[in-house]
Amino acid sequence: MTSPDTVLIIDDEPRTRQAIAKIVAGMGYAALEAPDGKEALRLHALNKEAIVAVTLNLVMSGMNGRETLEAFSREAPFLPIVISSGLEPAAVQLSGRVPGSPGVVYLGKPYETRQLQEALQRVIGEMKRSGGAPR
Amino acid sequence: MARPRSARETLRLWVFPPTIPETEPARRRSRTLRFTSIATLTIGVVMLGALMVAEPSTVGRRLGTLAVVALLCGIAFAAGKREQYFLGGWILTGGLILLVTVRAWSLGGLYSPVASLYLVFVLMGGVILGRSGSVGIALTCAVAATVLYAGHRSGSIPVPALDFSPGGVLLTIVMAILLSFSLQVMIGNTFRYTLRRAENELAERRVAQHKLGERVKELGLLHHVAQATQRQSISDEALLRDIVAMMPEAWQYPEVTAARITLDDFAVASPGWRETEWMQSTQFVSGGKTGSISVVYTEQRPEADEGPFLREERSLIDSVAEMVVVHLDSMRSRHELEDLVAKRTAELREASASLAASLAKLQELEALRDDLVQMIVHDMRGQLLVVMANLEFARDAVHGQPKADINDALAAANGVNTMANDLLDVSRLEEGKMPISKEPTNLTELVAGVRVAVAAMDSSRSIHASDTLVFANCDAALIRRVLQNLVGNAIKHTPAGGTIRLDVSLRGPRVRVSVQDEGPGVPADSRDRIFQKFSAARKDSKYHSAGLGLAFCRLAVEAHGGTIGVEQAEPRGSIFSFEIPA
Repeated sequence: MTSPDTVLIIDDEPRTRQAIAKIVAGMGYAALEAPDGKEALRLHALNKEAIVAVTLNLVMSGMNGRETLEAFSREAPFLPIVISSGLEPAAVQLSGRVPGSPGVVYLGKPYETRQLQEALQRVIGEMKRSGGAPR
Repeated sequence: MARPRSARETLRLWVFPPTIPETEPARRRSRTLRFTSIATLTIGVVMLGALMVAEPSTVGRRLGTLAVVALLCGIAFAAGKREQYFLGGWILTGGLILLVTVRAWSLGGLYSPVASLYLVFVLMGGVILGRSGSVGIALTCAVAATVLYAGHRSGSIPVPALDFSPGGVLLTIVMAILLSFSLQVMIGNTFRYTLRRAENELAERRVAQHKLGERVKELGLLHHVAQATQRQSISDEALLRDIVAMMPEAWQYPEVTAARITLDDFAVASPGWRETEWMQSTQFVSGGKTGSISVVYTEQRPEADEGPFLREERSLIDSVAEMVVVHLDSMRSRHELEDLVAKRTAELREASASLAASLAKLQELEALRDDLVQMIVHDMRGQLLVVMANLEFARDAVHGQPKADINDALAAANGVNTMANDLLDVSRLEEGKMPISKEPTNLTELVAGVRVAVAAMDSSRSIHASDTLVFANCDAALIRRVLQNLVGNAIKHTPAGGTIRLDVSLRGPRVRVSVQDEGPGVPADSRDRIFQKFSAARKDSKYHSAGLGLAFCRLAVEAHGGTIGVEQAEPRGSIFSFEIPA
């Protein structure tokens, strides 16, 4: 079965996940939602083929965004990631594939629909160009 | 040290001796003259009387001689009475020389026994007239003898028949002896007198020297006391101990002197102190304390001005007391001052500790507030994302007025987002944690961009921007937000239909950006306050925002090393402007 291209939405706030799901739906992507990093890794492991990009919140209960980013950096080094956070970029200390690395951008909340769409297109495009896209 | 004299110098001094001032008083010389007159007359009367008895044939001549001698002695005595010893001396001695010479002329000249009296006259002149007088008399005698000699040579004086009786010659010799003896007595008297005078002088000098020594000792004590009282660090007790130890040496008999100083209960004494009947004391008072200074002689000493003590020693003990009082008074003032300073210092320290505690508490609260702000802003942004995204979905689903309404709601959501950003930025700017990344920025372009963005959202006011090209080295994002805040503020206060003017200009090494509105203006006394957090210029003010926008602007401009302010525009409105280094 060929799964539709899917964006994995990782955020502990259900309404945020829903809003982002609507935005990616507007781009023609399916959405998978995870409330924390652990669930996200599980879903990713199950849907590696389908998932084309990830939106990642940083402050979450359970496995937080920083740890999740590190885990994805190891397990899916070519996965396009949009970090979607209410924190100031300067206030966070990240490791692994930090924003600015190919296929990773930081998008400060709140943002317009258009901005997220552009960010997703950009990271997916970057990964395709570097030849590391999973599919 | 005496310089050795040359032979020539010695000769000169011998010929012309240095003038020695006539130290012997005229009174004494006059007395000598009177004594000599009486002695001469007495000897003359006795001896001539004896000669008249021994040689009755010469009575007439002898009487004449006696009359002349008596006359001379009388005149000399009278002169002596008037202290005219020089005149009297010369009259007596000169008259006698003349008399002897006249007598010798007729009695065998130089062979006459009376010629031997010249010797006596030289002595007499010396005794009455002093050295210069004796020289004059000696010369006169020499002249007289020379006259006699001339008389012999010219034959005027007959060769003596040597008919002197041995008795007459003896009497003449005896007369000379007696005269010499009386003169010797007078010379001896003069010597004794001179000696006594020298001794007296020496004694006086010794007394003066002793007194001088005493004064020096007294001054020495005063000097030491003055020095001791100059030492600020010395305690009162140590000072009194020093002074009491120095005191005995300054009194006239240090070997039997002891001193004691008391000050209330404190007493300090020099070795050997005990109360005796020979005591000198003075009292003093300083700062409510009573003190005394006493000096005793432990053995009896001769009476002086105050018992065995000198008048000067009274002044000395009083002066020491005065100096002690001055020192004690000044030390007390100093201690009072030090106590006051210590007290104030302690108070200040306490206040400072309390301030430090308050500051620490404030810093703690500040940190807590910052954390809270971060958290709230973070959560708000998350919620705003949901609001804005959903509004956008809704807007895309409707048309007409609802679409415009949703756009308003979106603008408000953006406003809330801006406020949240301001809140966070103010907090970070205040802490100096806001990273400023400066880069050359085209301010004209930046201003134009803001103008376009604002104009797109608000069409009811016209916005003009100057097109002078100005660059500045600044954090473009931060300065853009400053400008957005100022323009937003201007729109808020300018009535619909009004005009807002944006201006950029170069001011020497700085650039000035200004935003002029047509609002009610800012009262002069509020112009500084509105840039503070949470301030409103007026209670009824339209400056009703959280008050963070202008605070953010000020902090952002200051982070660039710039200044911000507001002034009255003519005819109405305000001009908000900031300057930053170009």
